Amino acid sequence: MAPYEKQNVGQAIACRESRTAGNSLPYAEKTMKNWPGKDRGLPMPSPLVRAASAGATGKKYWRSLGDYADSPEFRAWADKEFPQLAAELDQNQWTPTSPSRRRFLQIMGASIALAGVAMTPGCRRPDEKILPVNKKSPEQIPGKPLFYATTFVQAGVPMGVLVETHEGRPTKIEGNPKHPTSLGATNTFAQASILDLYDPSRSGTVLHNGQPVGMKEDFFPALEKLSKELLATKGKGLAILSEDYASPAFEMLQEHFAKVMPEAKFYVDEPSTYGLQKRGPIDLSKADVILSLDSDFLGLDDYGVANKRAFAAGRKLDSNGGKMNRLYVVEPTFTITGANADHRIALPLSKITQFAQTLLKVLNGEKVGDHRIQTIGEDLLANKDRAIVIAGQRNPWFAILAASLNQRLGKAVTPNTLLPKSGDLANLFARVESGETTTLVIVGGNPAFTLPVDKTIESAGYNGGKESALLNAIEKAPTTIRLSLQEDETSELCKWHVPAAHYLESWGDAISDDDTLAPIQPMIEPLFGGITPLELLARLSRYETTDSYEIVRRSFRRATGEADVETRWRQFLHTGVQGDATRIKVPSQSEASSPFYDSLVTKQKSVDVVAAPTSSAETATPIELCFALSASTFDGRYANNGWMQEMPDPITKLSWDNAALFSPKTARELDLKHGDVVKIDIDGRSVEAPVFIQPGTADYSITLPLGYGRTKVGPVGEGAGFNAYALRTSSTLGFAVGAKVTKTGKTYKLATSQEHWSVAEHHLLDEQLHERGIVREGTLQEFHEHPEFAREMGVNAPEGADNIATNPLEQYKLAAADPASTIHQWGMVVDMNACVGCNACAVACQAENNVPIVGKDMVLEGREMHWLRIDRYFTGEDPEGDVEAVAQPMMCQQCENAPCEPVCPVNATTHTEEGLNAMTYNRCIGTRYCANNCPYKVRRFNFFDYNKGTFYEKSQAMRTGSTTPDPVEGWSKPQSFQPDLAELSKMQKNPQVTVRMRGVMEKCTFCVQRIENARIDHNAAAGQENPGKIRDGAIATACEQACPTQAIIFGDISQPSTRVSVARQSPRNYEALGHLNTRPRTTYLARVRNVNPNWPKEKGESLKAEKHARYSLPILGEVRA
Amino acid sequence: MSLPIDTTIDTTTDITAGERAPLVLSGRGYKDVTDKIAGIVENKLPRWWLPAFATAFALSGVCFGMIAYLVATGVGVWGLNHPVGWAWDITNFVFWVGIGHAGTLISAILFLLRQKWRTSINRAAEAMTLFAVCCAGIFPGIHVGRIWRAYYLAPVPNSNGIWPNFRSPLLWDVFAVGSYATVSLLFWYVGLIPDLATMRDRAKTKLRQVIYGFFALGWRGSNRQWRHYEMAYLLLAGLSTPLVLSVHTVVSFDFATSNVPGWHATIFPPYFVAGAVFGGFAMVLNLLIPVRKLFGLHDYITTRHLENMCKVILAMCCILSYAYSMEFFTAWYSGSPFEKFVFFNTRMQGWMAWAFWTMIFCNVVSPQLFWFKRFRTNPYTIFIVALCVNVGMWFERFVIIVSSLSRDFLPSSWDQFHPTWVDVLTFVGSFGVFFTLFLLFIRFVPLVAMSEVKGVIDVKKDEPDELVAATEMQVHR
Repeated sequence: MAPYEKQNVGQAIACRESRTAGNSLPYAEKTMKNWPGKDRGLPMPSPLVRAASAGATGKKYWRSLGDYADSPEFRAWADKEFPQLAAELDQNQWTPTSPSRRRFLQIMGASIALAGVAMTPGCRRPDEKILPVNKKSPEQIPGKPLFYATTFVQAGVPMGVLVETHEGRPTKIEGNPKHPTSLGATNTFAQASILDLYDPSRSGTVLHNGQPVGMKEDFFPALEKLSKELLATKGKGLAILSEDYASPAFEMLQEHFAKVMPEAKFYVDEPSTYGLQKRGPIDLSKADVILSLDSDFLGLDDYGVANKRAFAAGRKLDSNGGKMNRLYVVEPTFTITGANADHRIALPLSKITQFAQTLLKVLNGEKVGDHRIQTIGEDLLANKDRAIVIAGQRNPWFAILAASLNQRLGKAVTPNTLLPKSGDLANLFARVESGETTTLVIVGGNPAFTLPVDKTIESAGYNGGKESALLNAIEKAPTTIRLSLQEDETSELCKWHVPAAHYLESWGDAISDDDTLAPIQPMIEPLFGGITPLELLARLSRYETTDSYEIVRRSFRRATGEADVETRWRQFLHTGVQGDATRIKVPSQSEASSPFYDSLVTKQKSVDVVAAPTSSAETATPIELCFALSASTFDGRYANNGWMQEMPDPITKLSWDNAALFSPKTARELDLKHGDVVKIDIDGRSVEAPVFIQPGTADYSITLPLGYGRTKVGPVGEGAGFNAYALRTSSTLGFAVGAKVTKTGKTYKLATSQEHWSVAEHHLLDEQLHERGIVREGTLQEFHEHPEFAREMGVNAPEGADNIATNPLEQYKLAAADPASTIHQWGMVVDMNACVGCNACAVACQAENNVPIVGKDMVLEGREMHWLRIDRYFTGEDPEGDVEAVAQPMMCQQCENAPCEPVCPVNATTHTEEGLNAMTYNRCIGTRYCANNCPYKVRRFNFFDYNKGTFYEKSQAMRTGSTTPDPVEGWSKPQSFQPDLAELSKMQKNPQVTVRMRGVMEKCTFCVQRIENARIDHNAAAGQENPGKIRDGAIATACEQACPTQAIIFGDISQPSTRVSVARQSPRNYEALGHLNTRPRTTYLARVRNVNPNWPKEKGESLKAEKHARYSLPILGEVRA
Repeated sequence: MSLPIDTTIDTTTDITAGERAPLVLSGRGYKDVTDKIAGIVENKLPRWWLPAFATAFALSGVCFGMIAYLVATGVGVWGLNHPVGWAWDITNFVFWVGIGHAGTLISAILFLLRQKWRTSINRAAEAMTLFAVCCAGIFPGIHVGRIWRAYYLAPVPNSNGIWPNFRSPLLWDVFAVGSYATVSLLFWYVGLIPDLATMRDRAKTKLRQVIYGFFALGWRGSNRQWRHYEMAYLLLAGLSTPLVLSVHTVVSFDFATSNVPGWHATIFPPYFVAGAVFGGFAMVLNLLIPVRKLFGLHDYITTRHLENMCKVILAMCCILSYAYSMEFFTAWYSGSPFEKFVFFNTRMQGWMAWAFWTMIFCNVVSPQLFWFKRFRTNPYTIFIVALCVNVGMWFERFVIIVSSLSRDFLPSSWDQFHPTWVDVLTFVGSFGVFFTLFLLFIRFVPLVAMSEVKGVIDVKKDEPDELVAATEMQVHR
């Protein structure tokens, strides 16, 4: 098996490309000009360091050495540093006995050059100095990664991250523990964002009317000309539509625009907030009872990572003294939040307003007929000052209702959620339509794909033409400039398309809603020569500098309001956050005056709440459509990201597609089967979508995930799913009522990573799940009465069951227990009560361990390669009634008595003395017996050479199935592809993990490379003599690190004080399938639902406690205690 | 020289109690035997042989083409997936190994038990064994992910000191099947030597003389040679007998030692051996009934031979039926939800039900016809039932392997298996390999053991003296 080679190929390619125009001066010249860095405020300690940081232009440095060394600055420095040699420089003091000036230059030149070479093994490092974080040694040591702080921004929510770089090559995103919205964790999108950097289908050239032109030669002069014209007219006719960058530097430029082009208009478009402001972080620290009105605050809503941490903190039973919060969720279909609810009510979105109104009555002291609402209301009132209602954004009324409810509970409300977003997009397009706006600059986002498809712009009286009036408007605007990573649907409509730099290639900054400022630093020179939004705006407004670095620096100065202090700036870049913010501060909330909200509520009452449909008769039944963000592509921006496309949806487990989610009852009544293609009509618009029958969906409510069906996208996203945006108008951004569903007679193959269960089989599965005891859960009451309930559920190992032969691991375990020993015993605990099932760990694992993607056809065959998967199970008596969901991360359990090991005929999988079930790839011949014998089914076999070539070309071959019906051909026939670009995706690979070839088995290793890195560091620090044990917490596996809820704990189980040992002491600790005597090193903490004891016993709820008891099945003579 | 005989008269199964039916009919003498059997090899090709051979050879080409495709592309060309890591590959392996049981059992065990009726059929049955083992050997060899590294299975001393894992049943398989194939080949070859010498002596061309002569190892038929030969044959029969039992026992360990529900069962070794004998005898019948017809061997392979084999099949059917029911009983009695699910939900009524009930029909129901003499003496019904048994035995392995893997411990990982065209063509192609070898065998090697059959003939007084003298030496057998 060839280990990963040619790591630097991509760098070499990138070197061939010209640098961005803003930094186009040769390095030395620029350095000379700026020396000693007056406007950068860089008091350079020495040219050596400066040269070292030059990095990218080491070669150029050689050429201009003579000029460089003869400058007055250099002489001054040399005079100071080398007084005895300085004379040599002065021609006048030259004597025949002293070393020549020429000789001096030779010496110095070599030193400088060496410094340059040693410090810059890659040639793609940015010019400006960015400082590695405190995690790693400051020097670049080949083979040792460096971590830099930067910020990942999505839909206006910044998340501080640390980026692992290997020789100038970013490979992995980690959370930044110092940043309040990350706290060291990340989400799936941040993890997967690194793949976008190396996407070979990214845009690399400026397009003018579809023709490739030069950035410097054509675009910049044109922009300059345009800018001059606009300056002359004070920006009249200019409109700038951008995504929400949450960037103070962007705002600073906006202010500059206000000065020089006061007529210019700015608009922000983020489809993910459904036309509202983002909500901002929620204070869950004091929330004992939480009610979510259609809010996916644990999932795709803004600040999801911070929310998850806060929510899980309230559910850590072992550290909270047996207390936990209670979550009620009312929503139309399962979200991650709903899956984690203690009580969940599936309601159509159009009925949730009624629900909230009824609840308001309860909070006002009235009695209502609906027992469930009554119970929730009473619970909220009983915990008045420790309860919170959180509103989703799909219906603007939810925010108002939630505010009213919160107010009854004595809570202040967050006012900004109540306000619609500034800069109504309809205005923008009306202006374009009327000819008022002549220049439209679209920065980021993808409005042509995500904009509502209104047929008319009312104010402009537009009619006819394109499907969407807004798109038509973009096309009609005389000058349109588009900056984006990819040539997308919007680029197609615009006159100019300009490639953007990825955030890992950019300078920038971002501020979160709690006013934490964080930097965006480049890890690598733009691979495709893109520019940043800051540079584009600076050029457009003819700002003093067009260098993004300079702009950010000024923005920092402006934000801190102090003189530019170098140390502060360095500190800022170093920690990735301004100051020392480690806990999110919820922005101060102004106490709203009651009459205002009361008036809103009164007003709301008068609004016609759309009546929810109650039946689905044959003809034109009003069926509700709910639009939802996709857990994979978000709003469509990750459609070309293979990791996200293949990552199964947390609830449906669907990959590579979206589908219309129907409740089992609705599907039955409409006579629809899973995979049938239906035509969904509403107001004269229609889409065709495959049916996915999802238990737990509200009846007569269909959920349509957005972000699929992209028409202009790279090969990965091509043909994936259907476009639900096509049904969305500006008045129905969140949901619409009155849809008609008709069968088309067609069917569509949906690739799910878990078997799809038909309604008939669901009951069976439910029973199986309880009998098998893989997932064990109980109620809080059960936990208090009998904390060890989990150990007695399902099938358990009989007392005294052991191996026939002594397990050789025993002696190591004994040895490890000795404090002087350097042997560890690794283990892991997954707290199912904290885990929300968000997939962040799974993507992190994929990024860390070079796990390939396999494509839709392979997922259909059941061959996905994820080392860590999230198993999702539903429980409930009746699939058409209330069902509950539970997620269980499943990875190699590192069994002490591993069934995979004895069956391997070639000794390819064996045990280490530290308890790892090790896999020797180059010994494996691929009999697959180990996988057959693995009860957890976590071993993954390379049926094809998934890592050969790029997954892009593979996916393309796989996805465009029209010509190659057989999946095999896609893998055997290499597609024509630019070889240089094919190399690009290899740059992401973690050089510390073998890239596996076809025919071998692979699986989770507990991130053995991280263990070994920690061991090397520890031993180096501790010295040769008795280094002792690695500190607990020094190793975080990729999944543990990414987990927003800290549900995964890894460490040494032989030491009683480690976090993992403490967690294993929990009474909830159990082994999945422990009765097989596999003795897994990964154990689970049983999930506990904080069920309201007063909850009315309805179908599906009443049997729960009973069922847990019923399936506590004695086996093999073991008798329950 | 052969006498005109009415081949329709075969009363071998109509004997009364205490009576012994003749093993060769129509009063065939030594010369008849030699002329008939050697004639098959020496005479002009029958008209059907060449088309049959061409078809089989083409099919074997398909098999090797599929293998080449598999090696060049990856194991993913089959329909395997993550829970179902083995499917048709191992099904075919166990199927062919099972077929490979009858030959050696007939040759060795029946020889030790002094069952003289074995003489007419042992040669062909043993050849069938060898060819089935060849086919069986293909599948475990090609099913691995990295075929070019399959030699890691061999205990070859190497620089990094890694030996094969002797705890793995797959390694036991390598040795079990390897030794079985070797001993079966030796046994078959040793039995062939006198006949090869006959062929050499009768050869009319130099080439045949040289080739048969080479393989006849200088056999002269001397008393001393006979004495050594008999001892060698007896020893090899003794050596083969435990192997017949061990090879399928070891194959069953592939499943029995695992923890997969539906595999993990102590009943597997005897159950698998019985199944193998069952399938093997069925395959012998499926081969010999047409051969007997095509070559007019009714005097040598009598109805009694067929009936005896049917009785063995019936006995094995009873053992298998008991094993099947025991599997269900064990699953129920264990109370294990995993076991119960595989048997009662997946096999009996789940997605594998069609395969399970096919298996039950073929293996349990159809051989019940053999309780009736009318059916077990009629070559047509025998042929059809034997065909059913072969189909059923393939399905038995398919059901065991795939249903268990597809519904094991974690419901999240459950999936189904769908064969691809490569799966199908590889399996079909393996029949091509089998029939190619078998057709070559009947063309170039005496398909009935002439020397042994002569030993069970009632010597006729009107035979020439020298022939009598020549055979008297064997009479004591």
